Amino acid sequence: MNEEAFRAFFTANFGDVWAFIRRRVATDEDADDVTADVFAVAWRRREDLPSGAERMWLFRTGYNVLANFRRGVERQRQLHLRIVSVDPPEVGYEAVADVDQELWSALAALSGSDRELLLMQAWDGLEVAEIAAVLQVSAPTVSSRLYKARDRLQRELHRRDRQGRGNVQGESHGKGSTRR
Amino acid sequence: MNGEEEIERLRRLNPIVRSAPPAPGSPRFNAILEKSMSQTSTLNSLADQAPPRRRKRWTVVAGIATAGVAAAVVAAVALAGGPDGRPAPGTGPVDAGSVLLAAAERTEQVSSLRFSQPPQGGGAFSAEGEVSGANSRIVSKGEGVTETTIVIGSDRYVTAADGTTKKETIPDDQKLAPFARAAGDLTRAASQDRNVAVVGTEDVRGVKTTHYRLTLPARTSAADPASPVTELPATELAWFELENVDSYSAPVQVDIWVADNLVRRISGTVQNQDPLTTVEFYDFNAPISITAPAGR
Repeated sequence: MNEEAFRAFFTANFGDVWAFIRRRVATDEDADDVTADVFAVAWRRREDLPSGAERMWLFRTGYNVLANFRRGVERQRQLHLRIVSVDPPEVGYEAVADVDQELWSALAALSGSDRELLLMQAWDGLEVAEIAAVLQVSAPTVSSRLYKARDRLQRELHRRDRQGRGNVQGESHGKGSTRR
Repeated sequence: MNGEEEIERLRRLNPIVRSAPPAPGSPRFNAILEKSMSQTSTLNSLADQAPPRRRKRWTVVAGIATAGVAAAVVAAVALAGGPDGRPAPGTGPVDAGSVLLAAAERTEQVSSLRFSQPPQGGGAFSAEGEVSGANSRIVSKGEGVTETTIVIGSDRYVTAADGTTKKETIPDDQKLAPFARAAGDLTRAASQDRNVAVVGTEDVRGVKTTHYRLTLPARTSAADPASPVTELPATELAWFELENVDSYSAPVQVDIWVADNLVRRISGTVQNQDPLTTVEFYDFNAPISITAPAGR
């Protein structure tokens, strides 16, 4: 792939990759930096890009670059960043609309892998096979895990409905803990 | 129950709704493009970053994984004399490579051991572990919280600070290789890299060791040779937080301390950053039995 072809490749995929990254970092500037790193990997490996599967390759590379990025960034994040972190620390709800608090709270109570699967589907719009390509696991595995993750989210929401929002906001479940 | 309603609710929380990507041709778009093609990376300039969180690593620790094909290839190359002409063990001068290779082979034969991860980083994350074959028991501490993880086969028991225990079946993609084999393969791979050097003699837990350092330069082109370390499976590298070692934009140092042909300490560091992790090994082949928590 020559320089001209790479520029076309960049233009065709930039928006999707930037959005994928932006959902997982704190600021537009962070998204710019991480996206540049993803395409830097693509540039130096431009002869090895899988023909016909470049987009998923970029997402998978973005997923890996984000893992490195997270190692080095202060974890003072907005709520949605806490949620998608692999190992989220405490989360706060000060900036979250009331109508969304219950869902965020339920999401925070799930495991990191459950959250990632659900948000890849809901936010990134990835199909099962595409999620499998990004995570490098089999599609049946993703399908099964996704079903269970949805089920756990649903049960968590129902549990919160039963107990009443006011009684559960201060509890801690799994890796995510909540506080007001 | 299909959860479609919840997925739809999640869609409405998508942060990207409030942030659009830079338009093609805009200054930001062009800056990112040029930055990509000039190989300039931000990841190597984050000198003031927080260290990686350790708890997740130890909680995903798991049982038996299939043998790493790449590692086997590395081993075969080693016995054949190595790609850079280094003599096979016993046939040439004792150098860093041959010492590390001997340590790799003896360490991976260890049936049990204990290990310690000294406190690191702002959260003071630390861990103490014991391993018997593919089973393990790890007590991790950090940010004032203690958690015990026991792995027996494909079962993982996580006991929180309040004493409650949760049992999980470890997904296949989270299973790590047995610890001793992972350490052995990493050391063997390091032995095959021409960028390994002797640092000096140091004391590790009261044992006089020789300190070796492998420096992995950041690859700037697919044509650059990959270190054998980067060819190891993530199921082995993850023990030492090195699973993404090939994607760092800065050089990575892998430090290995050896005494009596046994690996005594492994540490990985991205240049200008805090160590990824440091793990010390002791009590080799001690009688260690890993059992499920009481009542389980």
